[in-house]
This record gives sequence, C-alpha cells and structure tokens, in this order.
Amino acid sequence: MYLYSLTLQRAGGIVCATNGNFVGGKTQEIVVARGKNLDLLRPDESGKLQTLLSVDVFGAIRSLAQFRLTGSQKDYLVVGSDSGRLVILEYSREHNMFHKVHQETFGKSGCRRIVPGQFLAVDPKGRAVMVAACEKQKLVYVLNRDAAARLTISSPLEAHKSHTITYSVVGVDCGFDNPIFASIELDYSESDLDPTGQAAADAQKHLTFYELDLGLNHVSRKWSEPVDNGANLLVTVPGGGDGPSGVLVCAENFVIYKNQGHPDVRAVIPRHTDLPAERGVLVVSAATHRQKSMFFFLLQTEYGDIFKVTLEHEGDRVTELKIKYFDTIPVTTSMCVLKTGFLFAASEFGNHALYQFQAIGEAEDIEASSATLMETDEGFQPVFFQPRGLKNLVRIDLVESLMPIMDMKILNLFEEETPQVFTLCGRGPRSSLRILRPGLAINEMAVSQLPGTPSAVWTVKKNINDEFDAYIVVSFVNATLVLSIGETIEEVSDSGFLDTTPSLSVSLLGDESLMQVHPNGIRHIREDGRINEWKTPGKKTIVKVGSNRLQVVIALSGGELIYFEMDLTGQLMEVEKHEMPGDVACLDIAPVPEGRQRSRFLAVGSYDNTIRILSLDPDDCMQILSVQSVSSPPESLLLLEVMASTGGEDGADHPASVFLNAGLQNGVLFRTVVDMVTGQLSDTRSRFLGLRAPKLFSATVRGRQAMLCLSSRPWLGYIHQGHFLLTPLSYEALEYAASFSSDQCAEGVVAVANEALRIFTVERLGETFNETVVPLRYTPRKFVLLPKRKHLIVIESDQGAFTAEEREAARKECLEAAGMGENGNANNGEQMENGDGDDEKEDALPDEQYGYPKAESDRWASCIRVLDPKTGNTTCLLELQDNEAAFSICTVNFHDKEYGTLLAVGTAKGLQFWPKRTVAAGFIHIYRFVEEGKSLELLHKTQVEGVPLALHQFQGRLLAGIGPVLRLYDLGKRRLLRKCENKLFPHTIVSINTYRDRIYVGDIQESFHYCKYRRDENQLYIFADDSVPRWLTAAHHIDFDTMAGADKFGNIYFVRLPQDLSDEIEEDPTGGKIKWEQGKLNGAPNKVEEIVQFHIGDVVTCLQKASLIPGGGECVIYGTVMGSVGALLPFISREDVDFFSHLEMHMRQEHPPLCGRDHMAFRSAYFPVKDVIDGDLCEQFPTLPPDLQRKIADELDRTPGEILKKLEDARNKII
Amino acid sequence: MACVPLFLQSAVDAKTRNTIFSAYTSEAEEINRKEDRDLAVVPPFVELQIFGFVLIRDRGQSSQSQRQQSPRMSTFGGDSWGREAHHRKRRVDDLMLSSSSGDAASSPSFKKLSSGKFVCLVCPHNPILDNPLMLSMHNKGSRHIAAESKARESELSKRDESKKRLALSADSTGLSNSGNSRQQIKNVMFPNKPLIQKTMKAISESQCKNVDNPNAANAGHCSNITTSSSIGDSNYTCTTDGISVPPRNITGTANKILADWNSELLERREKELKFTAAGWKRDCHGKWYRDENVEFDSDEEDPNMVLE
Repeated sequence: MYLYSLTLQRAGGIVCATNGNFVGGKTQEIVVARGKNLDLLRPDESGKLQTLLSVDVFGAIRSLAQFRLTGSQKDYLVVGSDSGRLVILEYSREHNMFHKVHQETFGKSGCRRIVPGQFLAVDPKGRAVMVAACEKQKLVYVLNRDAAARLTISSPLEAHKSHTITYSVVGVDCGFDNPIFASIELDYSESDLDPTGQAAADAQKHLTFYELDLGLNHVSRKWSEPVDNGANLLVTVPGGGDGPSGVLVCAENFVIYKNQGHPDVRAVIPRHTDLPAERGVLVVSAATHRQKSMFFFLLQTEYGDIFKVTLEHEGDRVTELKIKYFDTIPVTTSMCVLKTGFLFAASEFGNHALYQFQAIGEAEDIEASSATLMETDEGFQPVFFQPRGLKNLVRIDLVESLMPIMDMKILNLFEEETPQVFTLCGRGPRSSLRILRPGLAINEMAVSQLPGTPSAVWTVKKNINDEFDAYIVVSFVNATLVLSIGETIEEVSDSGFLDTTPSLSVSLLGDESLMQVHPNGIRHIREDGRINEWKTPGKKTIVKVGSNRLQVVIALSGGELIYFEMDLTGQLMEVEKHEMPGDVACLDIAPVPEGRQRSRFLAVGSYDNTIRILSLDPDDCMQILSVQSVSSPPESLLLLEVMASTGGEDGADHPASVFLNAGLQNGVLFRTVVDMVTGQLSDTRSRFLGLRAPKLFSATVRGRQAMLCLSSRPWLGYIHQGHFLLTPLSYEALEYAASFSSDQCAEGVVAVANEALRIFTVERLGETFNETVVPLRYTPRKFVLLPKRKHLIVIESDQGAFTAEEREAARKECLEAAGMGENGNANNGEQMENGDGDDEKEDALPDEQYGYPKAESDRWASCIRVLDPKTGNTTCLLELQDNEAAFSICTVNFHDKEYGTLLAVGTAKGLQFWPKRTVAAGFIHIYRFVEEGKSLELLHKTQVEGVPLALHQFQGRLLAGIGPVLRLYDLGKRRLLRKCENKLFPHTIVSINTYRDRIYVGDIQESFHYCKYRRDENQLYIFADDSVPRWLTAAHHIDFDTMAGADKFGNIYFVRLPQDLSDEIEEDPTGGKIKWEQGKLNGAPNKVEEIVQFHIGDVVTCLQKASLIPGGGECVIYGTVMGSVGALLPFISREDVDFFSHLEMHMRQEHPPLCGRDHMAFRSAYFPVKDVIDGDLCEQFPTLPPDLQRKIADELDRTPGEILKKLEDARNKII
Repeated sequence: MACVPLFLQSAVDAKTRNTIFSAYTSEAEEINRKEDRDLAVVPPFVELQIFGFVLIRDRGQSSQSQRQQSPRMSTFGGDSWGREAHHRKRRVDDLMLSSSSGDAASSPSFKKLSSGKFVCLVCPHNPILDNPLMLSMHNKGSRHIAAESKARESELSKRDESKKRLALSADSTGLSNSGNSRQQIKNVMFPNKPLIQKTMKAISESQCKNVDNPNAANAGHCSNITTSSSIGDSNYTCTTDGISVPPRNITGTANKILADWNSELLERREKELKFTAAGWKRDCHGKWYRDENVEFDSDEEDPNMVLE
C-alpha cells in the first residue's frame, strides 16, 4: 500500500509570533510559527488579518526573532528550529516568498536538551544574535554587512556553561556599547552530586549578563546575580538614550527591574480576588511598545489578565515600577503590539484575535507600584482586583483555529452532497464543537422572495466609471423585473427596459448605455433615454447571447450567428453573419482587453459535442480558429482572462492568459488554455462538479476576475496566492448568478434560486473548510453518534475547575458581597461570543473570554451532553457529581435486552496525576435514551477498579479497557456483569476496535494487540501484537488484518497481520493453537508487520477512514493537536506511485525546506518513512521558479503543466 | 444457465479477438487455445460449450467482414480499439462471472450481497469486492488461487472422510439413515466388524453432523455462509473392503426428518454456547456450574434446568 499524504487544513495553533517590517515600507507584518508552518500575516485597511504567505518548513519551529541592521528599512527573520541550524530569512516581495539568507549549522537535528534552538535573543541594534538550548549551550553570532550592504554572519562564539538550565534569554538594550544578552539560569551541578537533596532544595536561579566584546570577538560572563526562584521570563527595557536599559524579570507574583549596578525595583502583580491563596501569578507573555518619547510593557498572566507596566526613571535610575490592570483577554502564547495601533494576540488554545487600542490605559485603574509595596511578616502585601469588561482594547478580527482537535468524526448528518467533519476543539471554557464543511464560507446579506420563479438575474451599472451597480434585472418566464440599488432595493419602471418579455441578457454597452436582449430583438437604451430596437428577421428568435462592453453576438434559432459591434457614435452595428451547422448551445465573448478595441475570440458551443473558437478580427471575421470536441454537449461557456500582473497584493507575477471554461451537460467543468495569438486550445483539464450541468458566470474576487460555477452546488474559481483554486461554496444550489457591488458590499454575488433573490459575499478565501461553531462547557474528550436520531453525545471534563452550580453560587455570593457594578461598568456592552449559550447570555464577563475561576488541581468538573447538530441545541446536559470526570463513551446494544440502544460512559472519581497517578474509583455508567433520544436517564452505575479509558460494543455486550484489563460485560439488573476478562495487556488500554470476532486493542504505550473472543470457551486470547512500543494516541480499524494508529511523537503508521498468519488463525478448527501458543518475553505468539510509516510532525488525536467527496475513494483523515486536518490517500496505480515518488525526490533535491531540516530526515524523525509520499512537498512545485520547474519536468519526461495537472488531480481525489 | 452468443458475426480482427479471449479464466483460455489449433481442421462453424457458453464462430465470414470494415471508428470516440476491447473484456468477465455463479458443479466461490457487492467465499478473510471486475481480478490473484486449491484439498479430504465414515455407518444399527432392508444387507455383509455398536453409533452421529454442516465447527465468522453439499442431493458410492454398494437414494421424508434432527442439534448447540458465553462451565459429568470469576444476575437461567 502506498499513500499520498496531504494537509487539508493547515495547523491553526501558534507556537510563537513576532512582528516587524518584513515587506519593507511603512507596513507592519506579523510572522507566526504554527508548528511546521511559517505564516506572514498583515492587517488590511479594514482591520482584517490577511495571510500573505504560508509556507511549510518541514521541521518544528521553536523560536522566532526579528532584527534590523542599523540604517536599513527592512527586518530579517531569525528562526530557531529542530534542524540544528540557525536560519535567517528575508521576505521577497517580488516572489512572495521567504529567501534563506544564511543557514548556519551548529548541532544535531531534533529537539534536544543541549542543542540550541529553543531560545533566540537579538541585540536591539541588530548586531548579534544569541541562540540557546534549554541546557548548557549558548551560541552568539555576530551580524554585520559587507561592502555590498549584504548581511554577513560570523562563525559562532560560545557562551556555554555546563550544568545550567536556561529559562529565558533576551538581548539587553545598551545602545551602541558592546551587545549584552541576559538570561535566567539555574546551576544544578551541586544538586546532581548531593544525594540528600539539600542542594536541590537550595538551588538558586541567577540572572546572568553575557557581553559580546566586538573588539576582541569574544563572549564573556559579565555579571551574575541571584534572582527570585520563581523567575521565568525576561523583558528588555529600552536603553541607549530611550530609557534606563536593563531587564524586567517576571517572577511568580512579582515583576522586578534589574540592571547591573542598579538596586532591584520590585512590584507585586495584582491578583484576582477569588484566586486561591496557594496559587501564584505567572507572566506568560509580554509585549513592548516603544515610541520616541515613551515606552510601556504589556504583560499577560496565566489567567489572561494584561497589565501595563511603566517605569519612572531619571536617566539610568529607575525610581518606580508601576503595574496597572489593563484588560483581560484569553491566554496567549505571544502578543505583538503593532505601530499601527493593533494588538495581535496568538491564543494558547482556540481562535486568535486582533485587537485595536482604544486607549493605552491612562485612565484610573487598580495599580501596584514599587513605591507602595508593603512587606509584612507574611511576605509582601498583595494587591487585589476584579476583572472587568474590555476598556482599552476592542476586538476587530478573529483568526480561526481548531487547536486542539480532541476528537473528530466524518459523517453526513445533514444529507448534503459532501460529508461534514465534526471536530471537538478547544479547551476549558473556550471549547467547541465545530462542524467543518469543505468549501468557502458564505455571508448571506439579503434574501427576498420574488413574485414568481425567476430564470435569470443580472446586475448592471449606469456608467462604466460607476463604482457600484445601479440595477438588478430579474428575468421570469414571461416578464422582466428591474430593481434599483440604493439604500434599499426597490422596483423601478423608468429604467427603459422592456418588462413584458423575458430577457436573455442585460449589460452595459459602451460607456453609459444599456442593452437588453430578449427573444425577439435587442433593445439599446442610450444614456439620454433614446431607445434603439433591433428586431430579429422573420420568425426567428434569439436563443443565446454573448456580449462584452463593445461587442455583441447573438445566436438565432436554427444556428445563425449575428455579430454586432459598437461604432464610434455609440450605435450598435451589424458586422457579420455566420451560419453554424446546427443550433448553438452556448456562446461567450471574452471581455475587451485593456487598451484594445475588441476582444479577438468568440467561443461557441454546439449540441454536436464541440466547442469552436471563432475570430472576431475584421480581417478574418467569424473564421473558425480551432475546434475542441468534448464528452457531452456544453451548457455554458466562459472565457476567463487572467491579467498579467507583477507584484500584486500577494506579490506574485502572473503572465496574461485566457482560459476557456465550459460547463458540460454531464456535470463536468472543462477548462483549457486559449493561445492569445492563434486561438488554439491546449492543456485541457476537466473536473466533475456535480449532477447538474454547471452554469458559468463571471465574478470579481479581490479585484480580479473570478468564475462562479453553478452545478448541484455552487463553486468559485479564483486566484489565491498565485494559484487558481476551484472551491465549492457552502450554500444551497443556485439557478443563476451575477456579481454585485454596492456600498454595503463591495464584492458580492446576487443569485436566484427557487423563488428567492439572494445576495451574499464569499469569505475567508483560500480556506479549505468553513466552520459552524457550537460552544461547549468544558474540554471535550470524545463523542459518539446516536445513529437513529442523528444526535451527538459529547463528554466533557476539566481538571481544576468548579462545576456550573458551584460557579453560579460563587458568582452570586461575590455579587452580593460587592454590590452590583461595584467594580465599575459591569454592563458596558462588551458582549463577546457568549459562553454556553444557555444561561450566561446576560453576563458581561463571558467565561469564554475571561476563563473559569480556578479551583484546586484535584477538583474535576465534567458533563455529558446530548446535542442536535442540525440546530446546535443541547437537548440534555448532565453534570457529573462528586468529583467524577468522564473519559470514555460508546453506544451499546445489549443482545436480547429490552432497552434498545444504551449509552455507556466510563468515569473516574478524584483522579490525580501529581505527585502520583491515583484514582479514588472508576465507574461505568449506563444510560438509557428517553424522549426520542433527546435525553438521558441513568440506568445504573458499576464501580470498577481503574479508569475505563476505552469502551466498545462487541457481540451484544460491552468491552471495557480498565487499566491493563480487557473485560467483557453483560447488562444486569442492578449493575454490569463481568463475563470474561484478559489481564495480559502491558500498561493501559486506550482504544478498542472490533470486527467480527476479532478485537483490536490499543495500549497506551505498546501499540496494538489483536485478540479473539472464543464463545465456546468464554475466553479472550491475544494472538498477535506489535514489535514496536508505540505510545498510542489514535487508532482506527482499516480492514480485517490492518489497523492505523498514531503515536504521541507525531507518527502515523499502519500495521497488518501477515496474510498467512491471518489465514492460519481463522482456520484453526480445534482452537488449540491459539490457546496454547506462546510468545517470547510475555509477548504474543505472532507479530504484526508495519506496512506504512510517516512522521506528521504533530500529535495526531483522531483518525478516520472516510471519503470527503461524493463517489471518491476512501482515505484516512486525521486531526492533530495543533488543529490541522490531513488525509492519506491510497494510490491505485503503480504509475502514479512512480511519478509522485520521483517528483518528491526531485523536490527534496531542488527545493530543500526553509528551516534547514532535511525533508527525508524530518519525515523519518522517529522511524524511517515507509510507502508514503509527501503531497505537501510535491505541492510546493508551483512555487519553484519556472526554469527549475522545467528542469524537474524534463527529468520526469513531462511538461510542468502536466505535473501541475497531476497534482491537481491528486488533490481533487481527496477533496 | 445463460447462453450468450458472443461473436455471431465477428467483426474484429484476430488480434483483438485474442485480447478478448485472454479475459477468460485459465481453463477457458486453454480450451480456446486448443480450439485455435483445431481451427485448421474444423468446419467453418465452430460451436463450443464453455461453462454453459455457446461460442459460435464463423471463420470464413469474419475474415471477409474484417476486410470490409477495418477502418471503422470505434463507438466510443477516437479510432482506438483499446477502449472497446477493454469494454468487451469487462463485459465478458461479467458474463463469465454470472455463469460461474449459476454453476452447480462446484459450490459458488462468491456471493452477491444485497448491496450489489461481491464477497469471495473462498478466501478465509472473505474480502468484499465492489464490482464483478474487481472480483474477477481478485479471482486471478495468487492468494485467491492458493486459497482455492487449499479449499479444494480440504473439500476432497472431507469427502474422503465422509465416504469412509458412510461406509462404516452402513454397518451401524439404530440411527442409520438407511432403510431396514439395507441394514440387513449390511449386517450380512460385514458380520465381523472390529467396532462395537456404541462406537458405530457415535461415528454415525458425528458423521451426520459433519456432513450436514461442515462449517459448524468454525461458526465464528462464517456462520452465515453455508456450502450446499448435503447428502440429499449427492449420490455416494460406498466402497468398503472391496465390496461395492449401490448408491443410496434417500427419500424426501427421511431427508426432512434428518434436517429437523439437525436443526434441533444446532439449536441445542447454540443454547449451550450461549451459556458458556454467559460464564457457565461444565464439569466432567456434563453438569453445568458457575465460573467463580464471572458475575451473574440474580434471576439468571440455569442451564441444568433449561437444557434438560
């Protein structure tokens, strides 16, 4: 089996982010690392974050930093990754890609203890960069420029110190003195040698300054001083004239200003009033804002509160450190303050947000200061505050992120053309069920009912220079309706259009006259109201029309074509006639190219399965230039011109070209390139869009011409980051559409379907999926489908949280004690996304934004939820009591028992992980569905001795994995009855799959075990297991002998029981063999073989075999912790395998990954890659320069076009 | 049994015909090749019966029409013969399949599911195949062929075994399937058998079970698949000690009684299995007792009572 791996949805989570001026000029961009992806984001004028570039680096990005050489206008990006190399990147606007400027190797690859890459620090003046490991090693590179102003990098200077752990590294701003780097270090050499543990208890963290002597080209430890043992983060304080220099040390509960030769200035971080006393406050992320005259820091704590930190200073002496409450937003991994007044918050989990500053915290608020710090016998006096609504920030955009995907199922619950992907995402109060549909999201702006069933719709401007459309014209079977677009849309009668006849086409002609084509003629409405009418000769009627601004071609019944052109006086003149062999099925003229008089090509589709290109040049007017035969009669044609552009919005170049698109009656979209000179057709591609013949319409997307295809669902063909994408829209089937532009909606679409007129815009271009979000209460763990009722049952549980009742009680108490609105403006209208949707609507501080109040770590809150996915309504929500938390779920039908389908939920009571994993008790709850599956009723609950982490139905009974025991339960009157068990599993059972009488058990750290249940002996036998100890995170049954699994190191693998072994086991008639055969070293007698192995580079949490397109082959779909969704498609022909493996090989050679990790080494990070071809690498082929593309294509004996087509085909097989 | 005239007037050239024929199963191919060799001597009309197919070929005419129509376009567009030939090959495979399914000579090697898919009954893991083409491809695979030969072997050995036992059972009294008169004959025939009566009985009992439901033993995953070899419709020639016994014809009523008796047995076995699965065990006297590691409901049925 060979597989093609393709990422469908890129990771959403952000590991680290930095902002700077990467493009050059005045704009500010943000670079984010999403695991193995590097993205360049920029807020546009409307405040929406746009992704300029997203590139897969095939390595784990661990740290990012940005620097600028003095006097330069552009920033460079430094990337610390697992490649054992330091990479400096420069963004190239012309090619819209990152260029590797320098790549310096310093160590082995992989995330290791002592190989640098975890921390990066840059000298604020851009003279040096330090790259540090978690332990021991620190390297300093000197950055400079050569005579040609190119960036140069020195060989590394060592600043190692053995037996030290590094917590944080920053560059100290000391103007143009020698560069200094500060780090928080802990020396463990004594602790290692002291067996009593006394030294370990006394270990002290130090703040150390390393000075790079540029003259001597040498790094020395300049200064080291003990710091608070809770110190975890350093922040650079501006210096060199702008400020006092030095660093802020963020420690547990404190922020301390430190500098060499300067006394400590310490202030306490204010705490929540309801925070348990034993919990500290840690700063998790920091951002600095600098202007010429002032600077301040924003520090966010682990509870989401942002504090503004300011320093009062006179010269180099800091007199006071103030910490003022700023606002509360979800906890971030990093924050970026842009000079343009935006704050980008990269959330730890869930959606990221872009905020705009309303104020910079000048207003009165709770403040802790070093001046008022009081020390008592019990320590420093804390300062308390209560979070409030947003005051200084306002959220203006959201960046969706599925991180972390906890569970996923691909089901077609809504009976749509393609299945939906149901994912459980997020954590704690920000968790949600997200329903992903392949396709672009739609924002429906208006739907209005029409008096009849419309057949067509057009929009038309009054003048070519108008920005917006003036009329919407709707054609019915026997009438035409004209609507004028203004503040509202209303019917008008003074437009000059003939309303007693259906229309065939309505468009703007020339600069400011209108044209209406109806079956009996052409009506030309001049700007002054004069009307010219052209009547069809004899009894012929017009059947088809093609027109652009200056040219009109009509097809009469019988197959006669008449060509009109607009002359200089604005008259429509008949130019030429042409008799076609039969009736015309469709025709189209390309838009008039800029600076030209006319378009050269007319495309005519006939019912004899041909498409002809006719010339419209005066020299060879109506001569056939080329003929293309197609598989079915064409229904609709569209000539799409891609304009030549260089360095556009996305920075890429596009040569001009004309594409002929044809919607065929068999539902296929046929696409071919038209030669601009000869009109010859080449490079044909076809794609099945749906059961209805696609109708093609021109639209505008981001100022470029795009194509709408209306088949059994609508599709949009547009150009994104230099590639043409054809993506379905998540909308109902439409009849006819036209582009629409008004002051409310610049780039919309107006469409008719059934009896309604719909106006919508397309959102989030470039995405594969669009999502519908249903908020949940706690971290979702697993979910199952109740197949008959199509309800989803979700189990959610959170550690260290209060249950809903406790929270409610605490809140009431708090409000009563404080008096309503004591902490100011509790209801200031800052309604963010509401929390649970049911009971917290009127709450001004939604938990989703502010988080749940924190409880002790051994407290659990958990619930079971029955959800109707169609409406998103929760029909039943059971909160578990007594510190119980749900961990596993399955539906089960016990044989010949009266209840029908029951729900089994495995729970644990009082589960603790630290200092030792302990559990008070485990339970299996059995619930009955009542009220047509809308609600649950507890039947009984059975205590078990461990946590049931896996449950599964098996032959009318329930299989449960409880710790290392696999047990078969039958339903009893009062409890579950233990019928059979096998205790021979190595650690903990985390997954159970069954097929016929085979049971596939996944162990948490020893991969799969294949078992068999023998009814005649009532015994469970393990007959095969894996020889590799895998830490299993996800499992899925593929076929009788094959299982797919994923381990926690980011690998996906398939194991298969060899055929002869399988036969032997199935044909063992006496059953003696399975019973008496023994393996070696407590293993099973037989071993499964690994047939597929691939390193994803991200922890896969769920696997499923499914097909995302109707009639498509099945592939394995996976979801990961970082929120990416990918697919593994099995190849069906050897030829394809050869082609793609060769392409992959060439790509590896010609296009090595950006962060310096070898591609092959990355994909084989833990086990050698086996039989999987990396589609993500292959899909980087179009980003190569053309000559390189040609070179690779030559070596594969193909053209670049063919390779692109192959890549497109492979993707279209999956989605 | 479908009779499909394949090429009444063959308009294909010799090369294409060969391609088409190569789609046949190996046996058909062999016959075909043999037939090709014979072409020189056989008269113009050749009628062949392959698995119920009647292939009529007209050699003389085919070469004539070939000459007339050779530059004809394919009906599938283009001038490539490949597609048409491919299509016919599929069609032939299809037809071959349906004919072999109706073939009563051997048990069917596959079953058509209600979903329209096919399940191969020969291979031990019973792969499900989407369409006849895939099935035919699968049938040509080495695994399938290996499984087939294995199955055939086991079938043969089973038949041998049952023959042996039938011959033995002919000697037994009481539960024997045969009529009274035949019993007497047998008693006369084998007066000094080395087996005691009880053993004879046991043998015949087990033999009946075995022959009637050869799959009962591994009822685990293929319980719903039954092979259709029962004594009722096959005539055995029992040979023991060199004396040939004429084939027995079992009457309908006897057959029915046998079937009833068998189903009863099956039911009982199923019940027993249910009790073992529920955690009951049997002691050496055949008494049922509860496994101490298994939990039971308070009102659970006692097999000692139920199975009395």
